[in-house]
Amino acid sequence: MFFKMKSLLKKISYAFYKKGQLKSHNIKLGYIFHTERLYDDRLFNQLILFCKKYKAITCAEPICTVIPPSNLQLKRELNERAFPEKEYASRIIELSQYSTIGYHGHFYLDNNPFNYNAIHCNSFNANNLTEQFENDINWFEKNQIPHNNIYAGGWWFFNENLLQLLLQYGFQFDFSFSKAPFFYNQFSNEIMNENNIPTGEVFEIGFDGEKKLTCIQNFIGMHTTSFPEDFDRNMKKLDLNIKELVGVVNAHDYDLNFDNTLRCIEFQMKFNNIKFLSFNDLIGEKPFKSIRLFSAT
Amino acid sequence: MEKYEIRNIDIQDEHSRITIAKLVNEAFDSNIDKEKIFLNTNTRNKKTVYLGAYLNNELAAVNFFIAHELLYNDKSVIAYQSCWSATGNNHRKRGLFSMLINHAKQSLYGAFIFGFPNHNSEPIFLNKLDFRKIDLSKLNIPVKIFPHLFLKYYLRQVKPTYQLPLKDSFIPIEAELIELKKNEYANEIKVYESYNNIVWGKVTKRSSKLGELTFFRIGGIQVNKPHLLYLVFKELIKKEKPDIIQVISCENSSLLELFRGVKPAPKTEPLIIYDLNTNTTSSHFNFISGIKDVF
Repeated sequence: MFFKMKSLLKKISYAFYKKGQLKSHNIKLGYIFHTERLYDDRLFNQLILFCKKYKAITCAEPICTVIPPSNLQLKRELNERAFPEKEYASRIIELSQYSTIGYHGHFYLDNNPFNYNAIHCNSFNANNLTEQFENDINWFEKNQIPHNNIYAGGWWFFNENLLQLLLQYGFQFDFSFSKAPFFYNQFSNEIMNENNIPTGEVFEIGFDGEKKLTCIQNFIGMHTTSFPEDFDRNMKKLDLNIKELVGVVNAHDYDLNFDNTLRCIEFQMKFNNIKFLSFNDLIGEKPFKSIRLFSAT
Repeated sequence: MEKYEIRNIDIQDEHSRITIAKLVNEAFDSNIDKEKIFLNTNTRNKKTVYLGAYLNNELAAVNFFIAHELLYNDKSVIAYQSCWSATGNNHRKRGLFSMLINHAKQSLYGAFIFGFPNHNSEPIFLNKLDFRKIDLSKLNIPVKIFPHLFLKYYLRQVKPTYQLPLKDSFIPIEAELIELKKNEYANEIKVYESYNNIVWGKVTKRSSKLGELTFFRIGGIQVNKPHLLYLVFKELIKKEKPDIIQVISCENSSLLELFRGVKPAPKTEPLIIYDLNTNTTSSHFNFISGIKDVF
C-alpha cells in the first residue's frame, strides 16, 4: 500500500519535473556490477543478456567486479548448493566476453563470514584482511582469470591497509570511493574532505613510492524503480560542483532491474546527454589530483 | 610464612574448571556452574589468562584476565579485563589478590589491564596497585512516548560528511563481545544492524515510581556510518518497544560525541586502567557496559 502510494505520488510529481536536469553537466559514466551470485542460473543469464543489451544501446561494456570463490561467504554458498568452483570460474570467463572483469572484495573478522564479522574501518583486523585478500588474488592467478588491476570495495570498505595491499599487488584502478550517503566510508570520506575532492573528479592516491591507484568515484547505486527521473534526483543529492563529471553507477547482479535500468540509461542518454563509457575510455580521463599519504604502518 | 606460587590455570582441563568453581562458590557462598565461568571469560581470541595462587598444590585464590581484542589507530591490540577475583576462606588476608594482580602486571603482554571494581576493591586497585580511574557517564533515552522525537533529540543528527573523532580511541571489536555474550546468554542478547552500524544489548525490567519500566541496556555500539546510526536505533525501538534506552560509557569515550544529555554516573563502578605496553594517558576508551564481565 505504502509503495503504491509512493509510486503514485512520484508519478504525479514527475509529470511536472523538468527533464534533463543534469544536462548542464558533462557526465561520463561507467556501469559497474558488484557481482556476487554467479552460481544462480537466472541471475547469470540475466547479467550476460544485460551486458549485451547495454552494449547495443551505449556501445560500451559494463565493468563486472567479481567476488572470487576463495571468499569465505561465497565458498559457503557454493558448498550449500554443491556448485563446483570450476563452473564458477567458467562463468567469470564467459562474463569477460561481454564486460571488463575486476575484483570485488568482502572481508571478515576472525576469518568467519558469520555473526556481525564484516570488516569495516571500525571493525577491523589487518591480519584477517591480508590473509583473505591474498587468498583472493591467488585464486585469480591460479585460475588464470585477469582482474585487470581493477578493484571495487565490498560494503564500500576502504582503509590504509587495503590501499597498501592493492598497490603491493599491482592494482591501478579503484571504484570504491563515493560521496553517496549510504556508501559512506570513514577513510574515503576523510581523504575526499581533506583534499577537497568534488563529486566526479578522478584522483590518484598512493604512498611514497611510484605506485598509485587511480580512483574513479561511484556516484550512486542504480535505482530499480520505473522512474528514470529518480536517477536525476539521486544524482542531484550529491554536490555537483564541477561541470565535467566522471564516475560510475553500480548495481549488484542480484538487485539489477533489467528493464527499468535499460530504460533509464536510454533516458539519460537522450535527456541528459550522458555518455556511457567502457573501462578503457573511463581510464583515459586523467586524474586531476594526486594524493600522497604518509603511511603510519 | 607460607609460600604461595602463582600459576596459569588451563581452563580447558575439566578438573581445573571444577576446582575453580569450587573455590569461587566457597568465596562467594554461591552456586555458580563451572561452565558459566568458562563461557563468561573465554573470548574467541583464546588469549584469556586464568591465574591461580597455589599453596602446596591447593588452589587458594584466582583472578582471571579476559583478553579483549580492541582496535587502536587501525591496529589490533589486546587488553585484559581483571575479573573473577576470589580467595578461599582459609587463605584470606594473605595479600593473594594483590599478588595475583602484580603477577599479571609483570607477565601479561598487551596494551593495558582494566576493570570495573566494586567499592571494596577500588581503593586497593587505585592506592596499592597503581591503577588509575576513569569515571563513567550515563544516558537514559526515554522512548515510551514519541520515541522518534526523543531519539532525534538525544542522538545527534550528523551530516554524511561528519567524521567521528576516533584517533587514540580504544574501540572494542563488537563481534567478539556479541559472540562472548551470546555464548553465555544466548537469545537474551539482542543485536541490531543496519548500514554497517551495530547496536546490541539486553532487555531488563526495573521497578520505578512510574511502575515497571523496560530498559534496553546497550552493550555495545559499532559505528561505521555515523549519519545512519539513527536507523539502527529506530529498528531497535520498533522491535523491542523499550521505555528507556540506556547507554553507560566511559566519560572520555569518543562515541559520546554522538549523543546529547549525557550525565556523570558517580554511582556506577568506574573504569580502572593499568598500562602495560601502551601509554594510554591521553587515550579514549570507547567502552560501553557490554564489555563488563557482569553485563
